[in-house]
Formats: sequence, structure tokens, C-alpha cells
Amino acid sequence: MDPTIAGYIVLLALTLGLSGALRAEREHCGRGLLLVIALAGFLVVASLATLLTAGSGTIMIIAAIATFFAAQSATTGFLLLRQEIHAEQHADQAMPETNQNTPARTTQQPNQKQGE
Amino acid sequence: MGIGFYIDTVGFYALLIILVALTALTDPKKRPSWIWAIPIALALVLIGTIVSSFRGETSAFDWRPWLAILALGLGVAVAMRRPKSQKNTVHYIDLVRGISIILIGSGITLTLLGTIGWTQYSLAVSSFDLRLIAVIGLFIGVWSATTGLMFWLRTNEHLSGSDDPSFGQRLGQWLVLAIIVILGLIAVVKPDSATAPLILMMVLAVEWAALTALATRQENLIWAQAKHIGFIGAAIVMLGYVQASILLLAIGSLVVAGAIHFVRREGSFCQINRREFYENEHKEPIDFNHQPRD
Repeated sequence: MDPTIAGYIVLLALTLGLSGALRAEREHCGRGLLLVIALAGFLVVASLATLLTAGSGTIMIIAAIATFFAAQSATTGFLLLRQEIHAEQHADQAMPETNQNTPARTTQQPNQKQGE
Repeated sequence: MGIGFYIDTVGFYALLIILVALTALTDPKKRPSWIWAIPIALALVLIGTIVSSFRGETSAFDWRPWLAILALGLGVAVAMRRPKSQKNTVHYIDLVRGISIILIGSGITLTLLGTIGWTQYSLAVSSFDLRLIAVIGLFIGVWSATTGLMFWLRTNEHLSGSDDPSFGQRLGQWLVLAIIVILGLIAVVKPDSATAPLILMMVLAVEWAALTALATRQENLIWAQAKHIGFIGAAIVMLGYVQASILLLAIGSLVVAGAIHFVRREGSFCQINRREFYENEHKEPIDFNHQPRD
């Protein structure tokens, strides 16, 4: 493949991703990460293409193992994303008004220790 | 006609579906049923790939597509069997565990694909860039898989991590990384005698990944994992270059962009951010002003 064309495409997609498409409020950034993990499931396509064009038996078996693991991680990524979106639905139903703008990373305060 | 062409023609439609899903998801008013667009797009590409391989060569008995379908089905089935936590009680640790599994799977895939790429392209001595990509892909794969394994063991409390590394430990890590880079360069420049440097490089990569994974704070695990997702995205870009697939180039760049967003803006998750971050997960509250006493 022509490196110039590849470079253009990478630059375009990076700009698209960095500028708008994946931008969300801070508390939805995690969903962006999970979405991107689900997109990384396209790794399965690469391993599948290797498997389908394999010339020898050894490569075929290695590529089949790679396809197995890629399919597994892609499915896991999708399940995590689904869980995240359903969690938002539940949270919105449970508390419609409160906690909408809670700070995202709530760490335990030192003086909140119970019983002391 | 190469198989990359078929992947791309089907993949462009799939990418369109994904972009619609993406815009729908960033809009909170749209319904979350759009989530199903992603697996549908993925399935579309897979079906396109397999069908195109069926009509490609008409050999009497070609069982590669059946092997592909078998591997795919097994992978999906194993992932579905992952023990689900009860609804609405997802913790930070569950999420870290899930992403660890993803890192392990993707890392192993990248390692195997890098191995295949190396065995195919090391014969053609002139293709310097393909060899470089194979070696970098091998390194990223081994690194991600080992890190995922370490994090998984840590979240299951088989291993206990330490805090930030000391100066000596950090020096040692950089030294190991330098040796890895030198070995990789030797393998790329001299492909005739590359077997020993490559194997040594992979062993050292395992060690380096284990060292860095153990010296990550418990509360920083998710950021370290996001960085690895970014590296995996870079590896997908390189794979797209090797397989001449525009789809993989675009997807890999999007993955890198998403990881950068998450790391830079310290994103959080709806699954966990409405409750305590560390419920029964972190023994002591973090004390940043802690001074060691004699």
C-alpha cells in the first residue's frame, strides 16, 4: 500500500476522532473508551483475512487461534459497552434529578472513616 | 483481487453504520438501542469476508471458511460465558477485569499475527517496513497480553502490586526497554540471523511488561489499560497498512483517538460513577501527604 495514502487516511480518521465524533462530556468519556474497544474488535477481521488467505497448514492453525482470541475480546468489549449503556438507563430511572452532575472520580475522603 | 478489497467494500458500509451509532450514542436523547449497530456492522464485514473467500477459488474441498466460522463461534461462546455481575452492581474492579480479558485476547491475537507476518515477510529481504511492522506488532502484542494477565491476576488477588517504583526500579525498567529496542533493531536489520534476538526480545518484553504492570497503583489501572488500548489501535493501523485495508487504517486511528480522549480527560463510567469508587476494593484511603516514618 502506498504510504502516502495510508498516512492521509490515518490523519483524517485521527482528526475526526479527536475533534468531534468521540467527544462527550467528561462522565461519558468512559463510554467513548468502551465504544473504541468495541471498534477494536475489527481486529477479528484482520485475523480472519489472514486465516482465509493462509497458504500452509501451520499458518492456518495459528490464524485460527488468533481468530478465536480476537472474537472473544471483541464480544467481551461489546458486552461491556452494552452494560455501560444499560447502567446509564437504570441510573437515570433511579434518580432522575439528583446526582446528575456528580464529580466523576469520587475517592474516599480520609475523614469519612466509619467508627473512628 | 486481494482480500483487502473485499474487506473494504463491505467495511465502508459497516463504518457508515458505526458512525451513525456513534453520533446517536453521544446524544443522550437518542435511545440506546443503537448499540446493536456495532455488532451488526461487524457481522456484515465478517459475512462479506467469508462469502468472498467462498467465491474466490473453487477448489474441491476448502475448509478454511469452516475453520474460520468455528473459531469465531467458539470465541463468542467463551466470551458469553464470562460470569456476569448482578445487575446494577458493577464495580471498578469488574470493569478492570473485563478490560484485562480484552487486553489478553487482543495481545495474543497481535502476537500471533506478528509471528505470521514475520514468517511471511522475513523471506523478502527488501521489504524493510513490513519487517519493522511485524517486530513492533510482536512487541505490542506481548506487552499488552502480559499486562492484561498481570492486571487480571491483581484484580483476582493472586498478585499484589506495589506503589510507584523507586528510582532504581525505574532505571532498571528503562534499561530493559533499551535492550528490547536494540534487539528489535538487530532483528529488523539482519533478518538472516533474527531468530535468537527475536525470542530474547519477546522474553524481555514479558519481563518488562510484568515489571511495569506490578508497579502501577491500584487506582491507576484503568488509565494504564486505556493507554494499552491506544497501543492496540496503533497496531491495528499497522495491520491495515500490511493488509492494504483502508477500513483497518480508519478503525485503528479512531481507537487511538478514543484512548487519547479517555486518558487526557480522565473519563469515568456510568456503571460505577454513581457509587463509591472503591467499595471493599481498597483497604486504605489514599493519603497523598503521607510521609514515611522511621
